Amino acid sequence: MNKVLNINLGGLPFTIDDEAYHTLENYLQSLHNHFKTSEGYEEIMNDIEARLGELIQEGIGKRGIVTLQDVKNAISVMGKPEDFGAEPMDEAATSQNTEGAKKTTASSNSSFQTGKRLFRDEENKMVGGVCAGLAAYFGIDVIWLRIIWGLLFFFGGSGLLLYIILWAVVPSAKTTADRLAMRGQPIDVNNIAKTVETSFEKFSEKVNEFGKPENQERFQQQVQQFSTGVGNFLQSLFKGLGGVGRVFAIIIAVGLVIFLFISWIGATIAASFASPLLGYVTDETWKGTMAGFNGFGIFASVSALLILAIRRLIYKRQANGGIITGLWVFLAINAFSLISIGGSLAKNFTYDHQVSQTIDLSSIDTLNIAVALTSNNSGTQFGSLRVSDEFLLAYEVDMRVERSDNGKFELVKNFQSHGGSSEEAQRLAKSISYDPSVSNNTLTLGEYFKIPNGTKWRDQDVDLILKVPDGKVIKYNRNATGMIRWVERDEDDDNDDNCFDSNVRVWKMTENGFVCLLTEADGDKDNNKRKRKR
Amino acid sequence: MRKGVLELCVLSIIATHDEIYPATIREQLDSVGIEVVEGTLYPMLMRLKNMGYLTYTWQDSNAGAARKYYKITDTGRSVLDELQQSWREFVSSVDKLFVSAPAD
Repeated sequence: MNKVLNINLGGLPFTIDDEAYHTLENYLQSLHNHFKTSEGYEEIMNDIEARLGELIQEGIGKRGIVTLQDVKNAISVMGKPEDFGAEPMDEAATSQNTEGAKKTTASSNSSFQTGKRLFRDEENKMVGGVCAGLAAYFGIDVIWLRIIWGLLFFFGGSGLLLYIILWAVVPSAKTTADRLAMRGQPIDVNNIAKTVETSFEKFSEKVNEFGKPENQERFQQQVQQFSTGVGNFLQSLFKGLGGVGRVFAIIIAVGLVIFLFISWIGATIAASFASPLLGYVTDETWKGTMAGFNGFGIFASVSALLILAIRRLIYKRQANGGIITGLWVFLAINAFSLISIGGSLAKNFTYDHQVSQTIDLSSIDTLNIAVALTSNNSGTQFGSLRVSDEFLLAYEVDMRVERSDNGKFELVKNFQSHGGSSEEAQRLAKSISYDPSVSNNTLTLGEYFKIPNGTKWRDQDVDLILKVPDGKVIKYNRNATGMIRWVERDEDDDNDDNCFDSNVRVWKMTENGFVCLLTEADGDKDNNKRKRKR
Repeated sequence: MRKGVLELCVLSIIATHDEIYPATIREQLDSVGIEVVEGTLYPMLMRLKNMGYLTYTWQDSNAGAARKYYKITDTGRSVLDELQQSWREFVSSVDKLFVSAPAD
């Protein structure tokens, strides 16, 4: 006795016997497994079920019950999941090993569903095809990976270990389906044609190579030998390569590539530290970020173009025209953006303003000038600016010392700033605080002034003018000369060498300018001291 | 290999009909010696439809539930032209290789 069940398949009601039902159920389950990760799973299953229902309906005709044979007939029309997939071309051509064919069909199916697979690309290999495989997987040019790998070798040999592991673990791409799965390309007619085409190209290249070795092949051989030892590599480089120019080309190229990489890293670090500085410069944060990105973009595209050019020289291989055009366009966009941001920022510097304050020093006869050297190590130095998230320090203080024209001994502080409007420039100039201290006949100068957080940097500047009347003396240490930019000296003073030679300088103002108060002995003493120190 | 070529074949068949039922597509393939099971066609038709190369309409049938009849779109037609073009080029390239293998 056979049990019967009532089912609904593709919108049609059926009475089906137990055996047929189980077969149908297994079949639908296998379809489910096959399509479950596919896009549009539901629609496919609905279409197939509707058609199966229709086929069974046609099969049973006026008979009431669906039998095993009806189900089998319907299945044979629809086919089993293993009959759906793409058949790899080379397997289809030989079709000797059905076992193998089945296996690759299954693997190509799974790769079709799960996307790309990592293979080693032995056709484009230099050593084990690991880099070539990774390049195919990520869809980038293999040269990048080789550069990265080359550099990894210098980081404690970590690259070598990783390479060997990948070499051992990652399978090599054997069939066309593998090679497509490696790149994650859909298996359609264009891609197959492309793959076959490149295979033929590779083949003919290899044929050529035996008669007349191509530079690329030579280079590959060199690098293969490189993997056995740097010594071998260098030897064979000079032995194996006839053309001296080529050797230089390779050395220069490798040097350039390493240089580019290092400067790339440098630029990355600089840019990440520069970000607080950009915050002080830009009126809107996005402009700073954008400028940073543009800077990167320009650097990246220029580097890439250079590397492509080098690659062309060495490999005699033209890069994809689209890539080159793309890089130029990318470069142009970034440059344009950077220039327009720069232009909009430059507007913030169009106005300038100066405010002055005066410190009276008339009670002093001999003024010592000292510089308060600070050991501020927080933040990052950019030229004369030291920046951190909390503050911006401008090491832009300098002083000129001149003869007082009105007989007053005084220090004039000139605070200057630029700005997008004269009001802004004025406000910023006034907001500068810089207070040299005067005590015990000593004027102590700070090396920098602070631009407070929340205030923009608009090229603020502090200029000090020390006005010295006749008869007054100034005295300062050699280390203060960095800040004292200019001293109005008496050009006819024969004694001035003594001051220049000395660690401590003592000048007295006369109506013709400063004269040195030190004797030759003072200068010599100091000189000797210094000499002895050495 | 088959899958890519099959898309080309299926598009070509659909293009020569006003509207067509998947089972008929299979029969047409069969008649020129390309043997596939219907299960191959449904996911492909769905994909081609999602790419905008095909549309379908529901039509009642004697056999039971409503059927999807497929029809090529203008986009599909221009894609088909391109595919056919590259197929011809591909075939002629391969043919050349068959005739004259590299002499050196």
